[in-house]
Amino acid sequence: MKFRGKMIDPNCIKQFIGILGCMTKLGKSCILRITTTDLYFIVRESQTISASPLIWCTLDEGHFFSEFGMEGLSTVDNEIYLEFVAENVARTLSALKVSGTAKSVKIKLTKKLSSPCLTFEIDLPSGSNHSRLVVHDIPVNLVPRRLWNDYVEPEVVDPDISVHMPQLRLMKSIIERMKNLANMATLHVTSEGLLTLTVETEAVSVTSHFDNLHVEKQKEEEASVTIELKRLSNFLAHEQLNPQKVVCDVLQSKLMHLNFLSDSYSLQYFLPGINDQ
Amino acid sequence: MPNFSSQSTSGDQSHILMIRMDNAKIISHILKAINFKENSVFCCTKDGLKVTVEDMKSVQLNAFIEPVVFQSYVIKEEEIKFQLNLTVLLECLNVFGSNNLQSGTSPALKLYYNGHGTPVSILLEESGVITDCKIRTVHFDPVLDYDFGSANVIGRIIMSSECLKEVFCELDSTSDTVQFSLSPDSANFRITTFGHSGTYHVDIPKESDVIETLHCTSAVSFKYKLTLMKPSIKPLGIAQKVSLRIDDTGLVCFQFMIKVEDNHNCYIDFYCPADVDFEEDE
Repeated sequence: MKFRGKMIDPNCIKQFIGILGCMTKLGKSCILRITTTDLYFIVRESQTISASPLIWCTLDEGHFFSEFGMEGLSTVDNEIYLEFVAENVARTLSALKVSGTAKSVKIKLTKKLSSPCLTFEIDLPSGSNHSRLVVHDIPVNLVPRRLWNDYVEPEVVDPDISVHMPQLRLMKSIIERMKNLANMATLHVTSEGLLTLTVETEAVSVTSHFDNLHVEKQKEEEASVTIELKRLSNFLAHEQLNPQKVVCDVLQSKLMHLNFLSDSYSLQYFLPGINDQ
Repeated sequence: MPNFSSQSTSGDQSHILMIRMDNAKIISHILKAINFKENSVFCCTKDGLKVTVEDMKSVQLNAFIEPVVFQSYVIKEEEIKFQLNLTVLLECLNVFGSNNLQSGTSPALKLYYNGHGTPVSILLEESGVITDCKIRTVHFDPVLDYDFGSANVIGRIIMSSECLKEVFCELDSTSDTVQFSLSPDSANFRITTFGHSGTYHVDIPKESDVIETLHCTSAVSFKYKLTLMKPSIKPLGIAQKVSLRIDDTGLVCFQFMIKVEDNHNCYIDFYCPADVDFEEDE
């Protein structure tokens, strides 16, 4: 298996670091799947329970890398699946963050001390026109072929209603507060572009109304789903990207799907609904 | 777009209390400082809002917000009292974000109450997003009415709260009690702790810039449990000035003056009884 990619555009480097940082904060471990055309970062909280949230980030290789080469497991299975442990990435991330002036960042799959690593070579300009190369090795685990099916690309969501979410900052804060009041909230969207989030306990009931939202798709007049606030709050707290557009899809009682869209990447958050007690 | 006023469950006629504010952060800034316990009793009169938080019938924090601080304050009864969970109220008031008074955003607030047995309704709006909260009220437990008539006051100090806060934050935490001593003969206001490593005195000279006024009819020296003093730290942190009064039973009353928008003042007072085991030292 081989992988080698080189980034020379400072914006691409910055964006890539942002995504890597975000993904590794969202779960204890993160899977990186490399194909000939795309890179995928996958965080799934638990492999055993099918109803756990899934975070799926797709990056277009062509946008980020000026040079890109990969050779997968085999010609039939021409993909690479690596697993990162979040804490191992942290140190490299801080180094990468200050590499705003890096001339280039090369990422390679390597073997150091007979362990597979993802190696970052950061080429920094230095005082007297020389280059300074900073190398970080992040240990990774190769995911065996038999487990690849655990990370299947999720089906495209066919929502009952899909709306644009422009007020994400406010939504983040509302959810953060609501999580201190109750465990679950009900998300309700209408085809008129009204989204409401409600919690209700013995002591208090709180409803937030987002009106005049642009409706992307509507199969039904309205749709609602009950979700776990802690999970959504954790995700939103660590999501630090600056997407061009955020879309919220609801599948009645079953799913809340957030899609963060940008030219070069998309981040999807699948949060399964909870059946009301 | 849901009309702000159409959120009411019944017409405006049934509201016995109605408050409107352009910036809800002011009220949450004050109430956060008294939130050392969950339960709070609201007492509303034409003179404004008084919110009381009490611990075990001993220490008590009261926040006073006068009608002038609000954009609109309408009360249809002489006195309205109810009890609710202050922590829950603060979560609602801060639903749109950090409760930092300095940050750019300012959510608009409308609060109303229809009387005994009904919830307190709060409507908050920011950038077109409306949050509608209904907080359950319960019948209030009577709170201690500290009668602090000026006749009994022996010592009175008005000073900078920043200075007092510095002193309080550095008090020896291994000491069970803190002692305040004042006398007409001494040049200082003395604060003493008795910890494992020894007895520490902090002397603030009467003549210093941090003390605005100091009056003392006779020598006074009382000890207070350090843990009971803790709820005074938060209000001390947000106040500009503090006044301290001690009466002949050793009851101390701190009154904190807090400047808010448009140069208005809000007040928080804190009552703490003296530690009974101590024998007064003349």
